[in-house]
Amino acid sequence: MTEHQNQLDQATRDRLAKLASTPVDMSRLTRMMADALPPKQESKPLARPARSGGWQRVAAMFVLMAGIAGASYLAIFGVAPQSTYANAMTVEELHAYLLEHPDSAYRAQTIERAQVVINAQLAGNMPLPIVDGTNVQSCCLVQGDFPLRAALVVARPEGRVTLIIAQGKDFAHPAQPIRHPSGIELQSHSHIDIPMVMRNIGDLWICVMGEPDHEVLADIAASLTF
Amino acid sequence: MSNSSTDSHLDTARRERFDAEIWPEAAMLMRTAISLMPSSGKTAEAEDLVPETLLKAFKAIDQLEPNTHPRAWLLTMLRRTWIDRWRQRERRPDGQAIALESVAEPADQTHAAGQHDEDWTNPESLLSRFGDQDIINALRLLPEAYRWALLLVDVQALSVDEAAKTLDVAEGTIKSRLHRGRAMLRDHLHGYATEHGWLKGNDGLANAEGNTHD
Repeated sequence: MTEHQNQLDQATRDRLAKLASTPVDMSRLTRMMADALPPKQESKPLARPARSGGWQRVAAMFVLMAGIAGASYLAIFGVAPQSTYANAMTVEELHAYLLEHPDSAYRAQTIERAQVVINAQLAGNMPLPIVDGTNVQSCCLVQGDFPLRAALVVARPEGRVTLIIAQGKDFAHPAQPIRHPSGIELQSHSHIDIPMVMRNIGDLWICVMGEPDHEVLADIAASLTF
Repeated sequence: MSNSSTDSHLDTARRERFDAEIWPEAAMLMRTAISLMPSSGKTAEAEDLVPETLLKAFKAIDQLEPNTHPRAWLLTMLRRTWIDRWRQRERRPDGQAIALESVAEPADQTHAAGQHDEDWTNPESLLSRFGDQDIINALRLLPEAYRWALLLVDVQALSVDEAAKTLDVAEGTIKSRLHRGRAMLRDHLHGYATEHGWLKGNDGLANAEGNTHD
């Protein structure tokens, strides 16, 4: 194939991929399936992660690190871990929760499939993870609660990665702006030993965090669109 | 435990799993079924195909391996349901169903796909002008085998391996159908773009800033 044919093929593939988020009317199907399937029992939303246990240990590490680094640490990261949130989770809490509860969120095996899930969640055609609270907070953004728009886990050979997309765009303290080889601007830092890479498109931002190193996370952040 | 309470317990467990793993894919199935239909007037048929597929999935959900993404599994079921229905409608006068291969294989192997490719000098801009419905209409003009390949791999992000298993053909066949199907799709879109004056002479794009059609 010539370079031009490759370019045509790729452009055609990209355009076809957008059909995965075409809105469809599900009302008739929903009614038909409700009639056809055995009734479901009332299900309670999964409880939000307990603040004792795993997250508390992480929070304790945060406090210890803050103590070592001095008061300026909190000034840098903005939000103390002891804050109480009425109906919001920090991205780190959500990350820990999704990894600890395999049934709570979609798990993609490839970035291509993750993109399909993101498109579907942003279009409202696929449910968000069942968590107590639909807002998220991030140490990387100006203080506030931001509506969660998409969240899933990607199983990479290098380790598990959580993708969290929320409404919001103002980075509070870009710890380390980086430029991906593709030319895309990203923000990168680690919070309590969890590497994170953030990216902003329009009024949405994504936080890519998990077990792989920053380089892998940056590749993922740069390859997704939302 | 009585048989009925055992059945009830099983149904409850299946329903929970169905809600968690299968139902999130229902919109994907609906989109695929709608795009499969050879004309837009068949949307009601697509709407019948999907619940039939979902009910089969509910009954067979125990066969779905835990921690396996159900998309390829569901699309295989959709494919089988589609063929069953097609066979029911297309029985020969002697009552025999038409062979599966004739359903699956492209009728037209000689079509020179990609004959206008040289006109596509700026494919991203030109393709962005088509609305989703334009693309779906063009997909519907393709032979069924190509339509399936494009829908599974390019739209629903199945791997070539998964698509090959779903359609029960070799991976090489899928790759070939993808390449050829994309070229045929562009040919159909080329005609549409020409009609709308989006292609001017041989420069590939008359006006990249125009409105898209939805």
